[in-house]
Amino acid sequence: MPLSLTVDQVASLAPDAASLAAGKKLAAGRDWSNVGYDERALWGECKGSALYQVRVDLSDLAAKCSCPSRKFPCKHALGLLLKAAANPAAVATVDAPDWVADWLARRGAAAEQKEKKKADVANAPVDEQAQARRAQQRAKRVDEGIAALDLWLADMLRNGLGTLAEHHDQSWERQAARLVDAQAPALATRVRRIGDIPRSTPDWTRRVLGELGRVALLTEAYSRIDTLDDALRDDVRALVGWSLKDEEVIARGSAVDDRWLVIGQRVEDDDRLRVQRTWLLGLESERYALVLQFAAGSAPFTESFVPGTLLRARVRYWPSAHASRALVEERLGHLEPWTGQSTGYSGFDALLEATTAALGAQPWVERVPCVVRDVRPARHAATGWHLVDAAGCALPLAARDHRRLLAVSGGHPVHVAAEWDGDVLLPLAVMSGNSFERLSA
Amino acid sequence: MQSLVEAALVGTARQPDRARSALEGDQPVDEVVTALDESVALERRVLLAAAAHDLYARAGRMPRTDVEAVRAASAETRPSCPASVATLLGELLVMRPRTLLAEALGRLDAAGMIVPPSLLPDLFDLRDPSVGALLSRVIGERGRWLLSLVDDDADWLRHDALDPAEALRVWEEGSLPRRLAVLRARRLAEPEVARAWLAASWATESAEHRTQLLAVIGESLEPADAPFLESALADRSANVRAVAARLLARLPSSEAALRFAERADAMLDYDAPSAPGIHAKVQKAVGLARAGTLHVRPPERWDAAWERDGITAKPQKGTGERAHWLTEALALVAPEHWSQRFGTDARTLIRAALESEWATTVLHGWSRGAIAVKDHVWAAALWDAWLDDVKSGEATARHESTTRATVLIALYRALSAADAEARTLALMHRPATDRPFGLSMLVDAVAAPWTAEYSRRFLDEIASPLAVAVGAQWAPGTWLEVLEAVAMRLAPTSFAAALALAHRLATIENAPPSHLRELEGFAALVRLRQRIHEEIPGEPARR
Repeated sequence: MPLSLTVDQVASLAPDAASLAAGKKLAAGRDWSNVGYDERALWGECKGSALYQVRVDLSDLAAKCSCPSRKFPCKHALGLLLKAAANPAAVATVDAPDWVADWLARRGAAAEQKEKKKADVANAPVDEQAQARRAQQRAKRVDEGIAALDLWLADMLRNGLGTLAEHHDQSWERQAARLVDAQAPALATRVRRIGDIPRSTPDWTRRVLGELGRVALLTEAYSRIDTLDDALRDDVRALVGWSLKDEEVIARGSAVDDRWLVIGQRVEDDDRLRVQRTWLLGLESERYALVLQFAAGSAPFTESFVPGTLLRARVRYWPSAHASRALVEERLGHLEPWTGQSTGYSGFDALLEATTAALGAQPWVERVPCVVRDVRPARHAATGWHLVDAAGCALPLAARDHRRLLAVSGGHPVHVAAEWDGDVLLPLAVMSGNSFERLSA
Repeated sequence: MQSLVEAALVGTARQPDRARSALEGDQPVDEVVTALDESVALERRVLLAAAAHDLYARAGRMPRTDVEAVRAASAETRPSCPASVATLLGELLVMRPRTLLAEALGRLDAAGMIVPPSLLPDLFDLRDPSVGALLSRVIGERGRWLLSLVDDDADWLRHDALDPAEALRVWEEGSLPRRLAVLRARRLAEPEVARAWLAASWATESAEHRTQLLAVIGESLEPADAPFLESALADRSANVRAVAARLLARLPSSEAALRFAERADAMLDYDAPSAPGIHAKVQKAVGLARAGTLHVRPPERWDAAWERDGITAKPQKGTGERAHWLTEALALVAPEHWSQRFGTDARTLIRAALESEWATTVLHGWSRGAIAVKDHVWAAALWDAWLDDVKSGEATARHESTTRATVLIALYRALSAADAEARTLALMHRPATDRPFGLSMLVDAVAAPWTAEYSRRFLDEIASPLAVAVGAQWAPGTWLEVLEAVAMRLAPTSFAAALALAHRLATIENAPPSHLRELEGFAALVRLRQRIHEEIPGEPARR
């Protein structure tokens, strides 16, 4: 097999637990025939209520099955991947049958067409006047929203934060809603999150004041956006809520071709929207990239990223003074498992230096990703679990269940992938030898 | 930052000077703050100063250098299992019941291997005492190291790794399940110490705890326990006395057991057949010894001394007082006593008892005695008598027919494996209406894992009734409903035959989909067990 995924990795692709369970059952069953693979795809026929043809593109794990299920990937595709994961030797390498080759050809054609369409859109004549008018209207709304926000902030400072602590009010939520109306959604989210800082912690006021300060810094920067350099201007606009289309990112952002290790993934549930954050680390470039995907309700995410795999790809960064968010513009080969390639920072000093540099370039950076090599678990009597590097420098771990990290380490040096939020490390994965264990959900 | 926080807390309206002075400072970052234009509103300046200080602190964050790495786990003495087994264990972890996980862990242990570290947290979270002892053997040094670090409630698998001092502490301060666990471990290692523990704490234990502690004694009963058990006969709780008496009955050389036998002797007498002529000798030679007469004399009156032996004065509803006293007295005597006293075998005595008007009462008492000491010979003879000579129709009261089924099921546990197998296969031949209990009990009758031969014959027996059930449109109470239990018990040598059977039956025309699903579930379980046996060697690898 060109790709050897572990069962856990396949499991992370499942849209829900029921599909996974059904896939496992199918994988263990005898309903398969004509299972095979080549450089590009894995396929097989599964006898269910009818004979279903299942195929998986190994470059991006996109799957296609002739069954009527609306789940994606369906249980048959999961079953096939699980079967291959549990026993790679049992899958034969043969020439792809027509129904697989045709599908791959169609996929290629579809991708080309999408490209063409993009180019068409880019070349299409636009009503520049109308566009300019819309932009102007929005800018006006945002200006008004920000002016109201500044007044609200000043008012809060005048009355004192002490009055806030007394009762949990809806003012944060209301202010956030006003900012949504003012078409500044990112700023709205920032304000709403401040309201969520738990008031029970002793440093509540310090944290709230720090966050309010950063909001003020942002509105301050926005008020003089014309004086900022191009990259920071893009950041400030993004932080207020202007989004870029993928085509704009490709046109304006910088590209990096590399072999990217998927170091971790988190899915956060926001009322109706699920946000998937996937962190990549380029093995040669040593660059980190954050791929965000959004899905409504239980709908699947469009692209598959499996922690612990390597993908060859061209990654395109959003224009920014601290390039972090990115999209995968083009996959340049099939996925490979990570087999112990060394990567990441040699110690926490390097991580903290990188953090300082990031904040220096763009002061609103929230989480800095990292892989830190050769760290060991350590326990501080008062503040709990830490990781300590080879030089004896330690950073605290977020207060949560670290048993899996501990178990894999056994007190010996391991490589840990994590997000550093300035206070604590939020572990994403632990690597030991050539095994990769995902830690985040 | 602290002065800014304090100023922000009270508000600039109330104390503007406090806010102004908070903007002064001598840290490098304060240069930025003081550079802010005086014309900017005070509130705005406080916010921007907070932003600067916050950023300053974040950008200048230093690591701690005073935290020591924890001591590393010792090197493993057993090899970790291969990746394919780790995958399999991960699948079994989420399944219920845990029979298959236990089977896999047992094989892993037998193979001298341990589980991979990454599975440890999930295994710890099982909190299932039924796999605790097994698990504690396959978690390796890494597992014990992890347990020593996390204050997680993993007591259920920690007990047998305790040193004696720690065990004593648990015994004196722990929760009941933990105390029972350390007592169990201690009795196996040092029974004298365990008895001393019990004697020391006995007076302070609650009646419920005393009962459970006695049950632990029963798991590893030995003659040296007799004095302690005798003392427990003076217990305030009738329940505790009854449990202690039952344990003493299992120690035939104890004083109590002799007293129990003496009491029962007064209730039974046996006259051998009167004409021991040539005719009787021939009959005896072909195994049909004529039975004599059993004289049954249930107690006429309650004797308060019996209370000490856990016999209650009042019977349960539906049983006469005299019958109750008789059953209870006989139950405390190992039935071998009667074979010796009357000089004849179990079957002859049972036949004689069946002639008596107290037949079921005597059989009941003898059965309980046989079950307590697991007397294979008596259990087999009694089992046959209950099945064929005590017709369920004869039982007038409802409770008696349940008694018959319950006694038969309880007697199973006292039968030899061969006897249990033969009797189950014989019952399977009978029509359902002629069986004392349902199919799930038949599956459960012989303890798992089944022998190769029994598995083969069991499958042969169910093949044709199962085929009928699969093809039927409506098949309640058939083998289809207990297939899962069968799959859990089959010997590995029958896996192939079981799969072939399921495969064959799945081709039956017009079988309802729900029946095919049952078959598929059966086959999936068998295949899973097949994988367990193929992938985990079950014995240490040869060097």
